[in-house]
Amino acid sequence: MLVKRSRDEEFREAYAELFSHAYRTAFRISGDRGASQDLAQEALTRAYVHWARLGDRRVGWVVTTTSRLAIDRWRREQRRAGAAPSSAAIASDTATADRLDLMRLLARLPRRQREVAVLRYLEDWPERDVAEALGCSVGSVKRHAARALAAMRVQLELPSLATEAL
Amino acid sequence: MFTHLDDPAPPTAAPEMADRAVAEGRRRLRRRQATLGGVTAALLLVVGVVGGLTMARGDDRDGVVVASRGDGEGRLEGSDLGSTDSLRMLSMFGARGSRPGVVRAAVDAAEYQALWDAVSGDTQPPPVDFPREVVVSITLRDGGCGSRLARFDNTGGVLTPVFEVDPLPRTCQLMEPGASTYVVALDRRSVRPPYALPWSEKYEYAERRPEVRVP
Repeated sequence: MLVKRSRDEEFREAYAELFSHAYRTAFRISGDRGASQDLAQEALTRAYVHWARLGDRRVGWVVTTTSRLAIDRWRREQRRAGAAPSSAAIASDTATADRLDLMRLLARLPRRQREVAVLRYLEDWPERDVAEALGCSVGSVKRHAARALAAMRVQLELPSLATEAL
Repeated sequence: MFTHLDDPAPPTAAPEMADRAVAEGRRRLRRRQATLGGVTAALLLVVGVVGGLTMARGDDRDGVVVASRGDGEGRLEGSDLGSTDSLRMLSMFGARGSRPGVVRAAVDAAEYQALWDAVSGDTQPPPVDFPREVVVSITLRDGGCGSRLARFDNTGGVLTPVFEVDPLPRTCQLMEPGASTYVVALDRRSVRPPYALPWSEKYEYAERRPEVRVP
């Protein structure tokens, strides 16, 4: 019982901050408020289940889990809708087009590159924080980030990406 | 670089949302722990056969647990070890300094404290009734994917525990270290002689073969 009380107390204290991170990640990917709240809530529920093992990596875990849930949701929607139309055909504004490209890119990246890309570029974390969150070295983060960035440069046409040094 | 995708008026987290997450999280934990109890019981048997788990014979109140020894095969009789009735999940931790395959057991308070210190970090151990229970911890390579004992296969009187992984890949947490330590209290009466399980190298539990003596 002692362990469970401690888990609940810690979780409730951290909930608001973690929800904020999760919602922001979900909204940046999906652009849908209702869906983003649902995705954030699901990520937080999973965080509660795995709470004991998350330790200091809670924020990173919640962010990457949320991104994965958002991408899974997008894939399901794509399957239901059939072949995805091009972003140029359906995007009504720059943000929508960016989101479509972003989801396509993240969905194509290998797992580790996607985790690094989400934290490093989508959330704009410093490399050292990404390394701590993922439990790897800064050098490993740099390698994965460079590969992810190269793919993003090819597939996206975001001006800020085009000028960022590797 | 993606701030232009932010919601200009993001919602704030209400306390009832945390309550809902806790309630649903507890429900999932109960379901998870119920299945993990079966894994623990099966592993205790494996350890008993391989390492010579020796427990004293007594009456039902004190627990009658004697491990058969021999060639590593035999029969399981008595309690349904797939049941969680005789098991009490004490806690679950991310593997902390324990390689997958490490099994620890404690039969008294001193051993329990040492076991807990090894696996838990700074938390306090839940109470255990040692006259009635023994404690076992197992570190499994699970990747957060929900390893569980699905059933026992019974072929020619030889029982083999069968483990399965949650079939939903998305439940596997990519960032997790890939191993978890489960700590359970086992009712001493739940294992009855004679029993044995075949040892198989396909399991990863052979690294430690502790001998456990229950007074």
